[in-house]
Amino acid sequence: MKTKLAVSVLLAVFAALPLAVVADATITFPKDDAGMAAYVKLNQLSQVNFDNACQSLFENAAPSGQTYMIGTKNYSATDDGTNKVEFHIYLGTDGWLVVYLLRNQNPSRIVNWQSGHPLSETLLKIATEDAIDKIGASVAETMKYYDFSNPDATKMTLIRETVEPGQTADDFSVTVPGNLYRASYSLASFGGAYNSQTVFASLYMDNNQFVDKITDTPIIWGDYDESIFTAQTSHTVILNKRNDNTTARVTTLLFYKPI
Amino acid sequence: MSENKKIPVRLIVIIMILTALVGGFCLFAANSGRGRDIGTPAVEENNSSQTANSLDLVKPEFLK
Repeated sequence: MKTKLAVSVLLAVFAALPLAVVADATITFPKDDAGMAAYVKLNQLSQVNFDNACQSLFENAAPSGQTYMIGTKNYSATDDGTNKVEFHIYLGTDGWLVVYLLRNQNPSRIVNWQSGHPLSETLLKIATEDAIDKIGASVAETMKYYDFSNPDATKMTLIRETVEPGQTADDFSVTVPGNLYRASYSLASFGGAYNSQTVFASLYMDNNQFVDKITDTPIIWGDYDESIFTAQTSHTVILNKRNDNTTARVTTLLFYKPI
Repeated sequence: MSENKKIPVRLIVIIMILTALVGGFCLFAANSGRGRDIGTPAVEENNSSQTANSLDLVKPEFLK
């Protein structure tokens, strides 16, 4: 009887061993470090795909486990190749590919200011599609977004306002339904020679409360004051600029759960 | 025309009423959700320089 029991236990242990070495993103993905993310499940990730990823996916790779890897890659937010945003890339042998910003990076860094891209063509989307291409595996499901730092948010809305050369101001009003978890912005100015002496674009909201301004850098990523930008109330976002040949743009990102 | 070949007027009227009721219900059900996207914040634009796009945030299966 005792021999039978011992054999059964041994068999169970040996049966469980292969499971222990299979990647499990539930355990290995650093969800406490991650912020805004895009992810896909890849089909039949082979050792060749995994090796391809090791060689061509990352600019910098962090120490990783045997069944997953994490590295980083930079993508430029503007046409001139500057204003780079660093994305982390997680790839598990179980097929999960997650491209993400760290929690301390503002989620508005996903905004893509390169010309010719619609609002939905975020830098995060471009980075994820690039990673899929480099790995060379097919995709089981379409890409999805998730904000690990705001797990209760189910919607992200991006709103872009533009003030063209020769104009000085523009605005829009927005009412967020349900619960608002975060309101961020990417403020950009194009066509100027930036220095700390000149204000190229200014962002205001309700009753002209100052939010931020562009002086010596063409892009600023930040958050609206959450005590002012509240849900279920109409808020007006105002973008001002100098009356010159520069273009000012702001993309507002709202992370919320509708009622 | 013989008695058993008469058109059953009462039956046709009942079928027409039922069809109208079912059709009306289907039309109501189809229209009740039209133009009502509570997932999108109400954005008031003042000119064409402003665009908006809403995306879903979905919890990954490996977190569930």
